[in-house]
Formats: sequence, C-alpha cells, structure tokens
Amino acid sequence: MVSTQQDSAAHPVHSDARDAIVIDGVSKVFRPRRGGTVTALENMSLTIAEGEIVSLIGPSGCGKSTLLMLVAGLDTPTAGTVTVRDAQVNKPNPDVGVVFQKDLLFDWRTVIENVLTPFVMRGQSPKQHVRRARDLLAQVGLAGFEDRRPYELSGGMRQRVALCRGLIQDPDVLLLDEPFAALDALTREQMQLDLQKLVVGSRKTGVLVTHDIAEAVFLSDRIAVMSARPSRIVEIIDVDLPRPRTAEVRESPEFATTHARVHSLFKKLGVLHG
Amino acid sequence: MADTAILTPAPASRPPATTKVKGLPRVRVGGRAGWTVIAMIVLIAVWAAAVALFSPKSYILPSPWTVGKRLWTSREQLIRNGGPTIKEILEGYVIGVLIAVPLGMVIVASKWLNRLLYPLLIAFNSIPKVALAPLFVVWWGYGETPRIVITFSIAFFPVLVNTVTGLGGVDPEMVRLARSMGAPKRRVFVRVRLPQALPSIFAGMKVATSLAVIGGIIGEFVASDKGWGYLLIQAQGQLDTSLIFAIIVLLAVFATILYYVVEFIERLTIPWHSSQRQN
Ligand SMILES: Nc1ncnc2c1ncn2[C@@H]1O[C@H](COP(=O)(O)OP(=O)(O)OP(=O)(O)O)[C@@H](O)[C@H]1O
Ligand SMILES: [Mg+2]
Repeated sequence: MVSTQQDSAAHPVHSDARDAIVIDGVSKVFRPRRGGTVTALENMSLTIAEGEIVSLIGPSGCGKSTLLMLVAGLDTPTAGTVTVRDAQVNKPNPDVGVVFQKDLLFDWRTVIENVLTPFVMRGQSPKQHVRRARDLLAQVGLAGFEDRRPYELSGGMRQRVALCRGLIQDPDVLLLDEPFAALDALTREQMQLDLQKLVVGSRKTGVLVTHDIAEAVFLSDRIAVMSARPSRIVEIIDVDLPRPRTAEVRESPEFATTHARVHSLFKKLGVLHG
Repeated sequence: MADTAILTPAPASRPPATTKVKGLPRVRVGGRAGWTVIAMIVLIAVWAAAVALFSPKSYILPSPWTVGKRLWTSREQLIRNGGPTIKEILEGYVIGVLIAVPLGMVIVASKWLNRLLYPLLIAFNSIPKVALAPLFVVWWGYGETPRIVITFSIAFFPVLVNTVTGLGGVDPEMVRLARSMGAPKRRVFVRVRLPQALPSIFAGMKVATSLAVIGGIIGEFVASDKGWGYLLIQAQGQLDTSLIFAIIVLLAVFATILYYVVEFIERLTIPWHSSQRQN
C-alpha cells in the first residue's frame, strides 16, 4: 500500500509523541443477508500519534464509517488489528468518545442528562460530573439550556450537546463521524471552532470523518485521502497551519494551497469529474 | 436555521428564566375539553333538529330530551347496573395491560420466545373474540369471570402488538451509541429501548380502552343477569329505545373518560414526546 510508508512517518509537530491509534493491515468484509460480499476495507494501515487530529476524507461508501466503528470497538475487523493506546480493541472503550453524524440525543432526557448519559450507560452515578457537564455546555454557548429538552433546540445546538456528551468522560481519543454534515455553513464554522477549542486545548487525539475539504484542512494535522472501494489510503497530506486556528486562517494562502491539493487529488482519482 | 444564538453564544441566547416551571408538566386538557363540549352540543342540536323535522316514532329515534329525562328517571336502575359493567371493563383492561406490556418485553428480549410465541399470539388475535365468549361461559359459568376474560382478551392485543413493535422499532444507531458508551444489553433495553417504545405502548393502551368497553358489553350480552349490556338486551326485547339510548350515552361518556385518563397518565409519563408537546 502506498499509504503505509507515509503514515509511519509521524507528523513533525508530534514527532516525540506516542502512537495513540494503530490500524494495522485491517480488512473488513461484510456479508449481506441476500448473499455476496462487500469488501469495505482491504489491508488498511494508518498510525495516528497522540494529540494529533487526522481527517479521513473520501468518496461516499468507501468505508470511512466502517473504519471508525472498528476503532470504536463497535465492530470487529475481518483481518488485521486495531490498537488504541497500546491495547488491542475488541470492545467499546470509555476512553474513546464517539460522535455520530446524527446527534442521537435521547428525547426523554434533558440537555444536561443527555450530556451525562455515558455515566448512566455504564451504571455509574452522574452526580459528581454535573459541574463538568455545565462547563462543557457553557463552552459551546449552551449555558442556560441545561434543563431544556432536545426538541426545544435547533439542529446546531443539538449537535453541540452531542459533542459535549462525547467529551464528558474526558476521553483521550475522540472519533467523529461527519458530526457537522447536517448543519448549515455558518453553524458548521462555529462548531469547528468549538471543536478545536475543546479538543486541541486538551491535547486529545481526534479522528474526523468528513466530506468537507475545508473542514478537514481547518481542523486536522493530517488528512488521509481515501479512494473508492476497494478503498485504500491514497495519500496523506500534512496541514502546516499554526494552532490555534482562527477564522482568518481560511483566508490564508497556505489554507488555499492545501485545499487545492486535496481537491486536485479527488479530481485525479475520478471522484470529481471536471 | 442559523439562529443568531450560534453567532453570539452565551448571554444573548440564554432562555428567559420563567419559561418552564419545574415539576409536573403542564397538563392542558382545557382546550380539547372545550372543543369536545362544542362538538357534543352540535351533535345534540342536529339530533334534536332531525327529530323535530322528521318526527320519527319514539321507539325508532327518541329526542335528546326524552333520553335525558330517561337518564334521570331510571337513574337508580342505571347506576345499579353500571357498577358491575364498569368494574369488569376496568379489571379486564388493567389485567390486559399488566400482562401485555411485560409479555411484549419478554418477546422482544428473547429470540426464542419471539419465534415461538409471537406467531401463536398473532394467530390467536385473528380469532374474533366474540366467538370465544360462549366457550368462556362454558368454562367459567355465569359469574363475572368470563366477562372479564373476554374484556381482557380483546384489550390485550393492541397493547401487546404495540409494545413489541415499539421495542423492536428502536433506532439501531441509538443502540450503537449506547453500546459505544459501554452499556450492557440489559441496560440498553431499560435506558434506550423502553423509553423509546413508551409512546407506542401508550398508543396501544389508548386503542385498548374502547376495545375493553366493547369486550365488557359483549360479555354481558352473552352471559349476565346484570350490567348495562344485560339491560340493553332487556330494553331491546321491550322496544324500550329511550333506555337503549340512555345506556349508549353512558357508555360513550365512560369510554371517553377512560380514554382521557389513560391520556393523562401518558402526559405525565412522556411529556417529552411530540404528541404531548404543547405549543
Ligand atoms: N452492515 C453492513 N452490511 C453490509 N454492508 C455494509 C455494512 N456497513 C457498511 N457496508 C458497506 O460497506 C461500505 C462502506 O460503508 P461505510 O458506511 O463505511 O462508508 P462511508 O465511507 O462511511 O460512506 P459515507 O461517506 O457515505 O458515510 C459500503 O459499500 C456499504 O455498503
Ligand atoms: Mg459514513
């Protein structure tokens, strides 16, 4: 695989950091009931350093979500191994927070109860975490909404609640599967800033699946570009933009260059036809 | 949808403190009850107009006033017979709900029971329960037992089916989310499946209220020496139409009250559901 050599060279910023996620020769074959097989991933390898944010970007159906589910321990690879912080993944891990594309809030729980759900799901009392939940909500501009129900919130507010829920256990690794795809452009930009504040500030490792090149460039240290099935990582692009990144970064020439690189790669792959 | 709240977070978007009183959810039956009264008045007016216009024989269609008077003059008889009927209906209904909901949970939780029991129950449901009434009388005689069993057997199924479909129709992504948080199966059931199924269970319970009333009356048609159903048969034999109408009115009132009681419990239980949101 072209990718393997490139990703083993860790990102310069974190060259001394440990590996947070090691995806080693992972394949995933689905066997749908009506017969046949779907090879979603084939012999994929990728190493992500601690504190790094890596985006997975690629055509629809290439297996990005599948890969994320494997890292989250919600599915098992057909071949190969996934290791998170030196432990092989075989079941969900509380040190790994997941935020899905749909916000998946529980209608019957208030905003703060939703943020505290992970503790309840593990059979722990959420009481001593209420303060942190309030803090997180305040950081994303939701102070005062703690006792509201999800249906009283806008789509962007709901997704922010889901983000806080993904962060409440202070996971070392955060997996984000197109968390902002359903949001309008303005809200998405705000959410990207929020996410950067919450994740980069605490040196968490992040894996972000996205369709949005600008989002990938803005948030990541590296961008892994995937091809259509049978998918592989075609290229890994470093993003050398200083952190913390402000909205102005989007106007910078470096941003434009990186954006153009990813874009031209998609054209070359035939994902975008001109 | 880009509300200003997103661009200028905290203070501006803080909701006014007085919007929600903690504690019991606000229950607003007032509006709907108002419309119910208006609808009733219209209905009675049309009825009265029809009687005035076509002046049918009173054993065909008595006027609302005749029926109203009859409700009053026969009140002692109506109340005496209402007691057993209401008791049977309530018992059959409550037993039906108390068995159907847990049974539905078990059926969903266990793959084997699902495969074995559910098809049987569906087959049983397709039998017209009225046809079973004589059998129940043979088994349990002329006491109230066969009548409760008939009520139960009719009210039971919509609750069961709605419990099963509600619990089964859970969003698989919700389940995956709960699992990603480390919830074991049982906790996923209690914390995700069950709450998400409650609206469906309540829908079944509301449908079951009117079916329970039907069951109670059928039971009395077949086997009884008291109750509103028995009285209906008596009145029919004597062409006592105003008494029939009086009982119909009482049954309608009772069924409506039963429905709203269940709906009231629903509002208290699932104030978060879209069907319960006031606006
Ligand atoms: N449970 C499953 N059973 C069968 N096939 C599946 C299953 N889950 C995913 N697939 C297949 O695996 C492939 C990859 O799916 P995946 O959801 O990972 O794509 P994706 O890259 O996340 O796409 P998108 O960008 O549209 O979300 C698809 O072809 C899909 O049809
Ligand atoms: Mg996906």
